[in-house]
Amino acid sequence: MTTEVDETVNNDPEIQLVTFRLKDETYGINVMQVQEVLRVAEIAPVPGAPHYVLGIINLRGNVVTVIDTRVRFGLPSAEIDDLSRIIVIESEAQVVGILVDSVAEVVDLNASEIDSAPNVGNEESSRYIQGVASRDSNLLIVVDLNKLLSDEEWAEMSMF
Amino acid sequence: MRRQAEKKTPKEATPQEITPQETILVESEEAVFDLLESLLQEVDEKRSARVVTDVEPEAVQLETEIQVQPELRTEPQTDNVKIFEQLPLDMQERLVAQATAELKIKNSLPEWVEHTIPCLLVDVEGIELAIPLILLNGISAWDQETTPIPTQPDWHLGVIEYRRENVVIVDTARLIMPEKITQTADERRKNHASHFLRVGENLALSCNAIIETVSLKQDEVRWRITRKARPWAVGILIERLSVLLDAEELLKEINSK
Repeated sequence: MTTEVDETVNNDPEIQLVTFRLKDETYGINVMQVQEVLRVAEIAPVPGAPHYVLGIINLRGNVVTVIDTRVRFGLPSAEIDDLSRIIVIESEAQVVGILVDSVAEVVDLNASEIDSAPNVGNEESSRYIQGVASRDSNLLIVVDLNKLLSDEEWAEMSMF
Repeated sequence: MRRQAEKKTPKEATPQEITPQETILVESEEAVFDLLESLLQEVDEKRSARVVTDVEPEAVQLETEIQVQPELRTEPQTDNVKIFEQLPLDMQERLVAQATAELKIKNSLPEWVEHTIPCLLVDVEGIELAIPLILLNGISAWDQETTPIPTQPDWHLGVIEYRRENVVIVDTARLIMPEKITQTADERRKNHASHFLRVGENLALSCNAIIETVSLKQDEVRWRITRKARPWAVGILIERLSVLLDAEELLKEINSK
């Protein structure tokens, strides 16, 4: 009996997601990749940076590149307000910040609850959508941060 | 800054400042740096010795002198290796990674980088740039008439007479961040920036304001190791988040356009 339960648990691991809002939707990213959440302070623009790079911040003596997540996701830009946050994440051996409209909560999900997203639109925009999960009659869009940028773009992140 | 701390002698350090554990770490780090630097130097020497042999037969004597040097270093290098090998494996790996990263940075620095780097901070359309003073040939208020030259690119704002020479004024903002500039060249010329910085023989970079001069230390800059894209951006001033601009590289880019 115990073995059966263990097998079920192992086959359907529980994952924790930090959820955030962008426009009218809720997105989730793996909590293990989140280092911290910051209020938005001064973001210094960088000349010649790609359009989805908002600028750089000084995080306790380290320069961290901030990505405009709305722009990266193809959503219209929005003004930064009191709810806006920078989520500092680690992905592909790089530490970057992603600007989001607000941070919501940490949710627990079983892997089996994440359904693959219907693949519509071009591959470019949907490659970092890992899937969707139903939460309280709302859909949570699960983002694969490692695929948020291409290998070349990730490498570029440390060079601003 | 860290390297300075390493060089502190026991006489300068109080017992509160350095614990025995830190002393071991500092000695170990010094050992690793010395080891890696000597290895790197050996590679350079071997490389240069090979070039000398191939190209300049008369320099054989120089090659012989170089070959003697590794023998002189044998004793301390062996000590360093011993100290290094006594460290735990994870510390060895960490120190090697750290030393390798620092050597990469050291090897990628532009030639003009000294221990301290005096820079002029300027504002270009809201972006703060730090330009090494050693790369500047003059700073002036832009109050002269500019003569536009037909068929020039939109970053070419025209020619002015400066110290009895004709100097081309370059729209710095248009050059380094064209995506942010929506005005035409004529509009930029009419509402032109307040100052220009002369670089090279006959070019000057426009800027909106002179902020101040600063003296940077190497560790106050996050250096860009690979600069395939935007080679003129050599690093970021960590505290101010300003871009350290290599005017020579920008000049090369202008001349290649």
